[in-house]
Amino acid sequence: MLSDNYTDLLKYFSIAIEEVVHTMAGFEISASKDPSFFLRDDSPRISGLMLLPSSKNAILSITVSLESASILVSYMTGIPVDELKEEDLYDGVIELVNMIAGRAKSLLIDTTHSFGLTAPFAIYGRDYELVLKKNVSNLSKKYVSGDLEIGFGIFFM
Amino acid sequence: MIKRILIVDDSPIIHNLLRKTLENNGYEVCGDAKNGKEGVELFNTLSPDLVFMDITMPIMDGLEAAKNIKQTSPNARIIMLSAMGDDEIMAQAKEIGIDIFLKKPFDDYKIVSALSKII
Amino acid sequence: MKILSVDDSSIVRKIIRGAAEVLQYDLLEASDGSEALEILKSNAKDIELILLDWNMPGMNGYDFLKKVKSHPDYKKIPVMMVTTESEKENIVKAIQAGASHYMTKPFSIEELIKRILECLGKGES
Repeated sequence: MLSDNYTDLLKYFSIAIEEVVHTMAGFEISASKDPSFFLRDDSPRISGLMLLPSSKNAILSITVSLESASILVSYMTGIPVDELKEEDLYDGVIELVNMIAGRAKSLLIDTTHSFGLTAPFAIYGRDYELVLKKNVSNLSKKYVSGDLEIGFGIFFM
Repeated sequence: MIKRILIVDDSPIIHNLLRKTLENNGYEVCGDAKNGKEGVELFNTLSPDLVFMDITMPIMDGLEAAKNIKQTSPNARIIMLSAMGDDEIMAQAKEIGIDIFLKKPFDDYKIVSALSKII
Repeated sequence: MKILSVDDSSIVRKIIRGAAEVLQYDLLEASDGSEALEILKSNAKDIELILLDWNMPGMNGYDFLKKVKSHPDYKKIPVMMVTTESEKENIVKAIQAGASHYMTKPFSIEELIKRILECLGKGES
């Protein structure tokens, strides 16, 4: 089950997201000191989401601006930003959340945390935020590299 | 005037990205090297107008290769490609006369911008 | 000389395309097992390697793998699984069903190129 040992969980998901971005995009991200995982402005953004079924269900999310998504996908594929189509960005963010979940799952294999992987999906829009009711537990963090920002969150249902 | 560019980086993705952006902006990529040693060799045979040099590479790293090139060609134009945590290496690069760095991740705009800084 | 990439993510297929280009292979793409079978019908002779994801909608990777390995014209084509699926029992399942190599995501393009060469019998193992 996704237990209440959040430190463990956040630690391995952090390793997973850093590893995935570094391996696939070739650059490093680090955790921001900013306590909010909301992106810094109101530009259009994409969120990649995956339901992690477990005895305590959770939703994994990563949120990036279109610009950040373009950089990530450009670096993953070697295709220059101006040659990318919007679908490439959605597919890219979806695949990133897919790999992060998969990697975290293997890193957590010897712990008490176990969860399933489901089909990831994305939502896209301008100036939205993922807002939770006060008593919903969550782990959230922002990762940065230069101008790039990735809002990362796990929300327990 | 910069026309012919040599790319020295061990990542095929960076090669692709740089090549496409440079070609889209009217530059010619005259050579691709996978490590510093190849980079120095290609610099000597091709005499490019500019080199994009990655830092972390097998066999010979970018700083070593840049030093090599600057020894034989002090006026060689080199743009170093850096990643997080390369600050010390960047300081050493500045000492041998390299003053333009592109930090990963860089986009097309930053590439063109760096090129415009070269006189 | 062709490689077939079977993955429902267009981005993964684009990444694989980059590797194929470096190796000067043509890449054929399918987003699920059924599409891949269609492509095999007319291209099997030229396809030297299949890169296959495990989790796909419609016909999943495992079922596609079994179909390929039981087909007289396709069974000799080496198959490498390229997938986030990392549970040992599923890796064993895939190997037993005839996959000759297995690579987990995430992967660097350098690693992908190296592994493709191994599968084609042209790399050092």
